[in-house]
Amino acid sequence: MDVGTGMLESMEARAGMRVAGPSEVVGFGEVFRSEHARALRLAYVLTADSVLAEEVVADVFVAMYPHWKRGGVDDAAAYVRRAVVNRVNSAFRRLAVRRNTELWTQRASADGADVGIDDRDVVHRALLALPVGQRVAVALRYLDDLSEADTAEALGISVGTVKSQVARGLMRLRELLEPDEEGDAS
Amino acid sequence: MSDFEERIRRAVRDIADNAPSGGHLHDVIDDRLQRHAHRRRLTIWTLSSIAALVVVAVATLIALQQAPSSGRVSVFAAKTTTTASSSHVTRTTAGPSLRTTPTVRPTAAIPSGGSVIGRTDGRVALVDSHWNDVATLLPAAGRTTVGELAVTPDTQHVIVLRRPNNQALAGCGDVAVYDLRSGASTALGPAVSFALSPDGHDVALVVSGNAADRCVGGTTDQTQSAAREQSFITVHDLAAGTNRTLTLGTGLAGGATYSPDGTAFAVTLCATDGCHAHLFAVGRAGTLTADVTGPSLVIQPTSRPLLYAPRLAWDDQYLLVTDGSEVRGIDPATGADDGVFVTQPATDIVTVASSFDLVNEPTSTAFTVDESTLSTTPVSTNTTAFTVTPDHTQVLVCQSMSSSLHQYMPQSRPTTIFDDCGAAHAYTWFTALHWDHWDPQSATATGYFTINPCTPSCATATNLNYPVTVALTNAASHVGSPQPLFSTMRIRFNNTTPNIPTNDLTRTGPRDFVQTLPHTCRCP
Repeated sequence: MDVGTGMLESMEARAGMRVAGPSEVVGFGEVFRSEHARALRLAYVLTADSVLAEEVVADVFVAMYPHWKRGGVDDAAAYVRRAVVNRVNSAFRRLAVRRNTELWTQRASADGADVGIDDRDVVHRALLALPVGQRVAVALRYLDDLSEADTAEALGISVGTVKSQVARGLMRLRELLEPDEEGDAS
Repeated sequence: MSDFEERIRRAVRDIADNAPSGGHLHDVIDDRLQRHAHRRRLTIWTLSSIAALVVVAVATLIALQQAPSSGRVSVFAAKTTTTASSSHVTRTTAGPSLRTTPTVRPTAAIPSGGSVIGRTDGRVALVDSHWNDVATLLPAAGRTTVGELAVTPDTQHVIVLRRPNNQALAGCGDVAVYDLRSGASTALGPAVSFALSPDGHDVALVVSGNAADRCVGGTTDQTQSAAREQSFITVHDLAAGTNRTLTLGTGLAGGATYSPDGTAFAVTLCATDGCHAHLFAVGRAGTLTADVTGPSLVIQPTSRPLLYAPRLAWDDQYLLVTDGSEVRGIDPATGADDGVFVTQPATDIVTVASSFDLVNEPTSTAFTVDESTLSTTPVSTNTTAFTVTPDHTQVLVCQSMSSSLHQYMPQSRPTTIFDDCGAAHAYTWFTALHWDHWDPQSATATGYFTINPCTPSCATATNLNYPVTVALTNAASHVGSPQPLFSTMRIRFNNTTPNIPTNDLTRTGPRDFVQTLPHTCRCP
């Protein structure tokens, strides 16, 4: 089933909007199909919450649709990426989400030895302990191998800031993940 | 790239591989876009309605100006036809042609975001989105909310019923007349509701209490004790400044309604034996003629839908319907009944048009309104009675759990039954009940068990709906009720059983539950 096409047809017919031409139908369907998985991956890395990640991505596509219809979306991938980052930031401003993440990371620390937890979980918890700016910069750099320039564009910040955010993020991750080596080094 | 960076890179990608598939995302997005479109349509509908109201008001003004200076003024002489569908009431007016009137600058600042409710000679009456201000001509009064409002046909006066903020939808308030030209206001007195005669000559105040000037309806328990209060109509002649009072009888009065020709006044009285409609002749002078209910017009209690006036739009753009005690969410596009909203702050109510009062339509057409679908059916005025055979066995249901509005009412085939306040103030109730059968021994319905989880707050929470089948049995006599009442309710959750603790039930167990009626009828 062509999920994207079916979805848009349904949107148009049920929402009483202007009925899109075939090219538009295929166009937004393609956008959805090509970008939603990538958006979900990014949102999940940044939030560690499946439900919240899906919520964020749904919000992004709903908000994107009218812009896309008006032709205001030139680079769908960049638009979706930036929108996901912005919405995750907004979500993390809400106390409940922040508290949830803090509890999650505290629990990770309280677990102590991390027995039975693989490297993925350990890194994820460490990643969530980073400030949001550093977390987003690290995730974008290493999830999709974005260049520093592309990361800067996605975040709307300068390349220099990206470099410093990534560097500080990595430094902090190293402190969290390899404390003994840090101690040895010092 | 260092080993550490490679480790981070690999881990981040592993994390992402565990991201949800988003298989149902398209449905979620579809649903949200649909709701957005509903808002858009309702906004257009509301604006169109306001425009229609303005046109009618202007046509009325012109009709008044062209009418003879003495004798009875036929305000709605303009030939008006009305058609209705499940989601719209569309009016076309073939009255006197509009003519240009001299423009006068508004004398008051116009608040932003308001809705135009009347306009003449450049003077504009506005309400803000919270119904508090009508330009500066109707200054906001502290701790009160405009509960009901009507504009005289000449658009020179606005009659306002203000109630205390905590009972804005029903109960006693104070009625005043505001002169839009001078800004002066004249208090008419307390009332539970009021009705403006179609020609704007009279305002009828409905009062339930110990006397015509001592209103108690809605301010105390609207239960058995309040239903034993006396009710009164006081008709104020706006031009002469005189008034006449008529004692209606025992019970809580509501649903005040003038007939389209202004010669009769209908009101319901809800006493301990149920609600009954009464009709009174309203002459220009002398005493009022009491209760002329007869073959000319009979409004049976079961014609209650007629008392509904679809007039409110919530901020999520549902059309709301109220009969004074309930505020019901209706999807304007599909007619789907979303149940009764009692936890929303009354100040969220926006937009109104008394022109959509289907009873008071200034036309020769009346409508019956189906409660569950909001579909409308025209009824000829030649119809002598809206007769519906009453069901002899009823169920005593809680109509509201608001601490100030809670009340029990015997009903047949109720579409909504309040259930309980549960832990952490979660509200539960049954909605969209469709009765497959209803006889003196038993009744069964399908509908939804709805939960307002009150998280993060009752006002902002999203209601959860669980499909249920409901069966009523054990009809028994009940003190104070002339009819037997069902006393047992069996609930079967058809799909998912909600996992929410309530005060008297734990719904985490089997899929069937048996409860004794009536339910608790008050939330803290």
